[in-house]
Amino acid sequence: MAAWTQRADAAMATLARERGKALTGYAYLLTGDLRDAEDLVQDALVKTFVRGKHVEAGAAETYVRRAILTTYIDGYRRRRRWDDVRHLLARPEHHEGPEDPAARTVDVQAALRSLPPQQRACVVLRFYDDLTVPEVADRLGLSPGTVKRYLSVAVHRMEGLLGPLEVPVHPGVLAEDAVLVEKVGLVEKGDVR
Amino acid sequence: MRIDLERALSDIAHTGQVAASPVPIPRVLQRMHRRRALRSVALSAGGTAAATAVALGGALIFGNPVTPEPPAPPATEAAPAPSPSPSEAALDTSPVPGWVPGPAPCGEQYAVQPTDSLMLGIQGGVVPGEHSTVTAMFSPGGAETTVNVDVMTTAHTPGQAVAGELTMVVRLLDEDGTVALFWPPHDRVPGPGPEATDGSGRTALTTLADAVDCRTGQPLQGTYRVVAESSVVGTAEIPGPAVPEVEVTELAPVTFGAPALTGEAPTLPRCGEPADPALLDGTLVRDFEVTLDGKDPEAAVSLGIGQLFRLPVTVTRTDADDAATLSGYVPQALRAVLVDSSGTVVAEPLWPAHPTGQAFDVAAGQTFASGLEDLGGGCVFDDGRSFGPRPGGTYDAYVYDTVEVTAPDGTRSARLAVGGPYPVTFTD
Repeated sequence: MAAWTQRADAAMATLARERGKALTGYAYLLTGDLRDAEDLVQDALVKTFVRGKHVEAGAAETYVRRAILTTYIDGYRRRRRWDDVRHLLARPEHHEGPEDPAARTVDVQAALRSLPPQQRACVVLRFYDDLTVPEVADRLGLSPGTVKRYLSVAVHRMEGLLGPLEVPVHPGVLAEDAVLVEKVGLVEKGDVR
Repeated sequence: MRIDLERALSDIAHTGQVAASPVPIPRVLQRMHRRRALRSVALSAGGTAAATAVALGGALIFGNPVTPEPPAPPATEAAPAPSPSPSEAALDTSPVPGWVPGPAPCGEQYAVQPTDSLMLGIQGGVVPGEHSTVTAMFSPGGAETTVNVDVMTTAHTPGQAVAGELTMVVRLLDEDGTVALFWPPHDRVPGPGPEATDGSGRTALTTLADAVDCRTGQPLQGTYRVVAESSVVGTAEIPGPAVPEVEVTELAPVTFGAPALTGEAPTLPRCGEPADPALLDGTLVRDFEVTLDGKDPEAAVSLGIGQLFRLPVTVTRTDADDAATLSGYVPQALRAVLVDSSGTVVAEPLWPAHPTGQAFDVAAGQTFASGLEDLGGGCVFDDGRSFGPRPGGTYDAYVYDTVEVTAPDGTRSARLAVGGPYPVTFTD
């Protein structure tokens, strides 16, 4: 085996061993299903390291997180097709995560799961990864306007299920968030932090 | 009461993290290895180029204890690669608005002076293609918006230890000899010194980059020469040569917008599948016959599993179309598969070899020289099964690869090169 493949294999193994569970937690945000999240992480690791591309140790996790996201979005159409027929099967397809002591978290998780994948990805990137709207748009290959629309619709929907949400608005992205705030009335101006 | 969405999302991620099972590392590794093997077939069918007439240095004895031989043919031993041909499309040389030209050596003239180090070798190439942001995978061809730089510094002699601090740079030169793109953007590949002493003797520069001219930001068009330069020198921390040992090799030129291959690309044997009966009985129709130089076909060669080697081969054009000459670029090495006594393929190489920068032009019956370096690393499957050559086992090695050629009318195609069987016994 060539040195570069050995190096890629070793880098993958190190990252999987040290950060595998954290990556699964991130994937779990997107999938809402623990087994799907674990599969997603494995797919992302394979895609990131199969080419043996030189990845700086510090950046490896970032690459894998991106691969998790793109793989998740890529599976959207396939899932749509699968969703059309899955009800014909008897076995349950959803694998619940662990018991969560915080009922509120469970509620948020259920609300998140109710969103279409692209809206869910927008919510995760914007409010978990703290990306700006243009950064989310760039990451997902969407226009900023589309991202704003997805976020607006997603937050509206989650509020319909959960009640008022406190959505962080950061000074550095005030311009983008102002549109979102104005559209959905999530927070009052004094809530900006 | 408002729900803090950011906090709730963090809690969900933490919940998943706590409950997650450890990543099954062996399974992920198996999938990576399998994917690499499959990819090598795809690349061969679609991609890189082909054959040649170059004298490989060094004698080679297949049948005696294998003596490692120098790897890629020295660039100074054969006719230089043809000059890049200008693209038929008008090149837009005006800078993209706001484009900041790259740092030196971008835009500088570079005089190619092939240098054959007795310590270092260079293999690999540059392939245009597409990088999917969805799948995170690179695919040759397509819109050619990305280039895959896949260049390795090797030991001059396979298996030879190389120590020192290594620097590598790969340059793309336009028809004027000016640097249009180069890698890496900094002049040092991190940490190669110790890795070059691990017995593999290889250090890779593998990266994906936007296929744009560093001077203008415009998409690369037409054909560019590819020149790789490596040097190694000892440091206070890493013992090595007192003065830099330098290797400069011209690799196969890279063409953006090349015509697609015509015809159906030959299918290569697949790991774990029965080999083509026509291959086993010697009746397989082939365009090139590959023979190991100085080898008694009946005598088994003895190899250690994973042992690095290079065996010189002669490639003879055997197809029936004797009216036209075929041209291309000499492969850096040809691939082979191992077949066990039941006729099953038990090992296939992970990667196709890139072509050298040495051109060939052969009529029917004419030959060129190349080499054989890789007998594959065994088979690994997604379901966890794996097998491969075992110590003490004897297998038949068949050279089986594609060679990309261009006919006088400009049409390109992938032709089949086959040789063997050559018995191989693995010692450990």
